[in-house]
Amino acid sequence: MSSKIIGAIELGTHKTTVLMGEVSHGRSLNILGLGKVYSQGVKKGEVLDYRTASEMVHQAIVLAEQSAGAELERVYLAQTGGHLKGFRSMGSVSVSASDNRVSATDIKRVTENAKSKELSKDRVYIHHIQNAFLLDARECSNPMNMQGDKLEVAYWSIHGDVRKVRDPIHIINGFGLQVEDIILSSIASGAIVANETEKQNGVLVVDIGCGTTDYALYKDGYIVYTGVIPVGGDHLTNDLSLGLRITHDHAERIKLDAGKAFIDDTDKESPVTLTHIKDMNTRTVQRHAIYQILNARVTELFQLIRTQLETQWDFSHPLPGGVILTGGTSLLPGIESCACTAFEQEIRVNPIPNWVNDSLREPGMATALGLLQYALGGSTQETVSQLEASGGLLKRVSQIFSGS
Amino acid sequence: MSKNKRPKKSKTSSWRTINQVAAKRSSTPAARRRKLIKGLKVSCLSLLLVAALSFVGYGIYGWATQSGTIHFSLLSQPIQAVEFKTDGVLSKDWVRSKLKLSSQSSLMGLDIFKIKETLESVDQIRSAVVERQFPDTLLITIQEYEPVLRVAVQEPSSEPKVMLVSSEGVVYDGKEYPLITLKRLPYLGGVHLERSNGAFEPLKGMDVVAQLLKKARLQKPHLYADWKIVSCQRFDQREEAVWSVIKIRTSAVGEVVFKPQDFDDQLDKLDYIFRDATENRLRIRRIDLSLGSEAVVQMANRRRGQPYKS
Repeated sequence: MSSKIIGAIELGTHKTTVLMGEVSHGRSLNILGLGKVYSQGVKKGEVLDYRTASEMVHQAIVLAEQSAGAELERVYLAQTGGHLKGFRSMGSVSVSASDNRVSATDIKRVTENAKSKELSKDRVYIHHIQNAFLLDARECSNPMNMQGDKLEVAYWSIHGDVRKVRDPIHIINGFGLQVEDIILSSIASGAIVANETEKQNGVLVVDIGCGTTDYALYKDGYIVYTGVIPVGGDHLTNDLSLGLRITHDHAERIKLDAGKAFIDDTDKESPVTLTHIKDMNTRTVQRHAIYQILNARVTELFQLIRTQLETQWDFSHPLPGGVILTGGTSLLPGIESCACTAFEQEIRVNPIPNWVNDSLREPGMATALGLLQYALGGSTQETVSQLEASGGLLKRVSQIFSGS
Repeated sequence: MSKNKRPKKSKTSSWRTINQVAAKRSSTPAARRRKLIKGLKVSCLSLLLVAALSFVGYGIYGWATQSGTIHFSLLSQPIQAVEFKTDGVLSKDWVRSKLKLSSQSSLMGLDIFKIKETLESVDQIRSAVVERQFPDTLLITIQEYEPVLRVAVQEPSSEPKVMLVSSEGVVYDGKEYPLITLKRLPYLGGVHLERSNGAFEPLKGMDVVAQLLKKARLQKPHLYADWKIVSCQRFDQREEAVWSVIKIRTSAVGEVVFKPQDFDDQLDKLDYIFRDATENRLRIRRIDLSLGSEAVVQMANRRRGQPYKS
């Protein structure tokens, strides 16, 4: 078949997005349609109300299919949530051949060895992301036929709670579709906002959503660390609501209309007037208070990320690719300078490539666009992966992000 | 004794081990509507497929069953010529009128098997071959029976008529024969004609009689020309019938009796007796050649039964 219709589904806390695209000859991607509905029954990447979530997801798929004028064939699902964890595992074997040349069997053995760690019953692997091979401590991307004694490989393995992974899959199954692949939200976003050079040099992608913040650190073309912090834009709203003693709706409106992630001295003294719809009472809120609340929460979020990443990167040294902020909350004014202060790195917000239609180039679409990009990359690797000793998901994920 | 136990290969579970089945609780109106539409689409496609297969099957069946009567409409042209060959006397005009062929008849429109059947239903025709010669010629070749005798037939429901008898014993209504040919044929008498399926049953032993007549016509034409009636009243084709004779009524001699063998010898004797009688101006009433080496000649002016000696 020369072309296939694929769909990217992201079940977010704020909205559910279904983006449909057509992959032609495994080389080009044509975005066909978009279905977007406000989420219900989903929070921080977890399904809380199965029926409501099903209706919402199915409605989004119907909207996307109507928009595209085509039927979905394959579905790629973004996965996020605080239940997702990652760990680094190393595999090590002695080269078996008498001439010490690495064979396909050696590569297979070392990769199996690295991925062999058993999880508890309630956990399942989402990704095994391969990093560089080490042949006698020498780093190499493909050790085949190279000479050495000891072959090692590192994997960044991501796993999640089977119940929380299963629910979104079954919701999609309920619509008569099968999930082709699951991709971590941060990896999906990274696929679209960071280019291969940045990944090679080192870049941190931070996707700040409504319920969670997903991040992925790239180094030498490999994903070396991923994480999910169950804090997002919704928490900013909650903080405003609690701190200013206003309703959630008012807090959300203030966040969108007057919110800034840094304390802007130019207008911090000017008040924001709120009118209560029910009794038409008005109330004024100082912008300074708003900025303080938002800045505190955003700074805390970035500090959390920095703390988790400090084992992987010394932030006193510049990260050549800088930090890329994306996700709906990255639209908060001043978040860039806040991130700059926290990470001490160059910050860019939502650098989605130019080939993406303007209507889709918003930060909230990065994950869905990245899923399609992943599907395109995956399909281009099908033939290659069959020829390689290690194929499948491992190969596809690693090659997409390694740029090889 | 210590056993080296191989460590069990760990089986790590991937999200792909999750069974992807559509549980009932997952179903929503939108999903049900989609499934219904998909089901209808599949049903319609299946029906279309079945219809297409049936159509193809019917086409193959039709082709297979009608392959014997393929119509080459493009090759079908009106008949420009009818070529006719016969070993007898029937003419092309008679055939045209019999078959009712018109100039508008197309070559492929003709049923040549029916034409053959029509022609072979005529008693006079032994066999017929009908061929199409493309692009516009119909070739008809027939073989006719050759008449050796005439026979007068009187049936209760019809007028008396003269029919012809072939050497095979076939009795038929002769058509297109010249009158002179018919007049030269002797009449056949002393036979019993029986009808079967609208035609007369072939007469048995006519081949022997025809052999006599042929030899006479070829070897002794002066004798044959005088033969008027061949009577088979006492003729039996069976070999054991020693009494079997063929009687010929002539105008000059009266009656000549032949035994159904050795016609050459008998004809020579007859010729001798006839010449001798002519030279001696004798009138003969009856010659019996069926007695072997002797011939009994009954003179008109002598006593009956006196042997003829010369």
